[in-house]
Amino acid sequence: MSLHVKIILIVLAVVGLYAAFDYASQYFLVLPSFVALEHNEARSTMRHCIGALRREISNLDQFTKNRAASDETYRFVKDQNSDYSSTNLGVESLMKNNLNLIYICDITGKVVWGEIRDLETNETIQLDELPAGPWPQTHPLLGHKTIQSSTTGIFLTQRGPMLIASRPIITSRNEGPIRGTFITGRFLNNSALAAVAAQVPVDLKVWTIADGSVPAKERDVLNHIKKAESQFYICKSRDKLLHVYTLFPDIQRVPALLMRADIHRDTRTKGIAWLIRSNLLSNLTAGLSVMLVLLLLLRGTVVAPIQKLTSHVIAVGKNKDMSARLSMQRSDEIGTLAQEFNRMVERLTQARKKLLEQSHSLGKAEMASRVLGETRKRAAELEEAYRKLGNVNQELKDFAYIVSHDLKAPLRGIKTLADWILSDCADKLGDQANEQMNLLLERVERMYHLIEGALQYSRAGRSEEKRTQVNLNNFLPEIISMVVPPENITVTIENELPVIECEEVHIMQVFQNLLSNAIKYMDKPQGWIKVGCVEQDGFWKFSVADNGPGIEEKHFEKIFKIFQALPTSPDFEGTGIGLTVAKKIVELYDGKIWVESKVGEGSTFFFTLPMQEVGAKDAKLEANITC
Amino acid sequence: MRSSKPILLVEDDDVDVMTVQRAIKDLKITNQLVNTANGEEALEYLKDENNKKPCFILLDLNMPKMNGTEFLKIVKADEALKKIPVIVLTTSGAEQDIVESFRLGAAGYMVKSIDYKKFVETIMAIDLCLSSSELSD
Repeated sequence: MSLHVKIILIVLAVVGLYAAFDYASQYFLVLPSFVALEHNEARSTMRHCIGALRREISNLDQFTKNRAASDETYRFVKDQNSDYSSTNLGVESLMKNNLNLIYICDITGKVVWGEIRDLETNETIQLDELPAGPWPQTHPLLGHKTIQSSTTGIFLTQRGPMLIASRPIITSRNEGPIRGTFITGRFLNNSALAAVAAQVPVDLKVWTIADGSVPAKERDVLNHIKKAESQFYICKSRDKLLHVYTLFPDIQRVPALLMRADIHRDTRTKGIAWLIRSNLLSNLTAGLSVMLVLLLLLRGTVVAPIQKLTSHVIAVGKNKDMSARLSMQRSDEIGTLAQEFNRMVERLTQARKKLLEQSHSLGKAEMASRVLGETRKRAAELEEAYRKLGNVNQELKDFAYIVSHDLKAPLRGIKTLADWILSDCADKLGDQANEQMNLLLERVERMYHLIEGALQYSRAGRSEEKRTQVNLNNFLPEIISMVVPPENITVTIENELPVIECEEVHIMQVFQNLLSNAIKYMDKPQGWIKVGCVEQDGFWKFSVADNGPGIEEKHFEKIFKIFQALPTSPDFEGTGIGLTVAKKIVELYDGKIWVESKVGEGSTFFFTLPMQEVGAKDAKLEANITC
Repeated sequence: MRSSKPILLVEDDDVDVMTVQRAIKDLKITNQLVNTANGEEALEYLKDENNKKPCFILLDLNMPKMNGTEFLKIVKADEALKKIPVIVLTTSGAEQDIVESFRLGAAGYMVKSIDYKKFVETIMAIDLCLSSSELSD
């Protein structure tokens, strides 16, 4: 069950509980009070009934008093005149005053006048309680001792209860002596009762207790009242009536009547029920709205964030997307949870990264060790090759040495001997032989120089010196002085020369050869040679320019080939290897050499040397090979 | 040079020997030229008491059996012999040989030139040099 549903259920339960509690409280607290109220009202109503009844009795008493305290009545007791009786005591009188009984007794108890009539049937009624003969002195209605004395109340007769009033007969001036008793009475029949009830108004029922007319149901009530010692007894009837019972005493203060007032509870009940229900409804509404508000608040505060968090967690778990972060700006527990989760994911990511890195570096380390192994193997192979190269180099050197020595020696012999022959036997040989000998000598010399040149060429660039930083600004003047330029040739350095890293011998040979060539071939009386250097595309471009005879374009390539020398003046020996050696050396440094020339004007020889990485690369190579 | 003392030439190439001989003749140097073809023979000669010690030795570096450098070492190690100036004859002019010779105590060196005239000039220079700084026996 989701959190949302749980919360809804909880809230519903709470609301239900509240409703139930409210209802219960209503029922057990409000209702009883209401019931109590009702009862109070019932009692009050009954009191009104009692009051009404008493009023009736009181009215009767007043009437009786008026009749009793009158001179006519006072005289009538004595003389029993018919005027009075006809005026006041006849049926008409009874009916007019709504009386069932008028009795006048004298002091002795003798009935002076007595009449009991049923007003509806107009019959005369005989009551044992109120006999026609003389009444005993102990009769409750008699025995007025004082003028104000009165006996009023309910009088039980064999025909049912009666409202009775008994007053002493006295003069109009309320003076005694009392001559008799004036008694009036009214049957408490239905109409009388109705009259009483109408005053309240209420439905009233009365039973005489003594005569057993009390129905069974009501008899229990009697006992209740007697036991509880309360004036009233209230109970509900099935037909939405509230019965209020009470006892009404007779003139002798003995409970004579059981009175029951029936109070309709309809509106009341309905009213209460409606009240409770409406209360309940309003409570429920309030509760529901509270629940709604609560739900919304909870959803906003708790459920939605938790749902968000849950879905985020699930997403992270499913997609393995560790980069997602929950952005929850809250300071409560949910916010903490989100933050901690983020941190946890972060830590996981980091750990994973570290693991990956470690495995990478492990892999790298493996690779590295493999590479290292390979490198060592290669290095070993290189060392071997290098060693072999060194051997070959040495062999070449030896070869060159041997060649130079062993070839030159017999050559020298030939030359010397030919020389001596020529000088010793010049006169004996004749012109032809002389010339031939000269040619022989020239050829020998040429061969000597060729061997020398070949040796030089093979040696060129293969010196074993270390590369150093050569400041050409200092070095070039030295080279110039070495080639000994004649007086008619000026050699100038055009601009600042760089410091290059190379073997001194190499750069010396290059410049030496170029300069000596320029000097050698100079055909102008006033010659100049200009040495310059420019930077171009990561190279130093050196130039040696002269105003010599120039070179034909078709020879541009040829002159760099070995033993290709152009005709020179006989003073200098041209072996034809100067430019070849220069080219070899320049190309050793990954440079280029070429010539630009105009016949008759001069030539400019260019050569390039790469700029300084050379040294660094070499140093690195050296360093790595030794490992 | 004192004409009494011979010049010892340690040289195996016969044309080179002839060259020296001819040069000395051209220069009118009267000293006797003793030639040994190799280092061993030269040492024998030097060791031989009967022979006069030469006033200087012309030593060819490239020789069979014992090359010039070895001979030079031995001679300069020998108390009796080391005073004799040794001029080294070399074909190549390669620095190594010359430096090594000087290190071992050679008095000078000479490149065997293809030009005979130059050779004669060099001999003359040596002669002049050694005459002026001749050591007594």
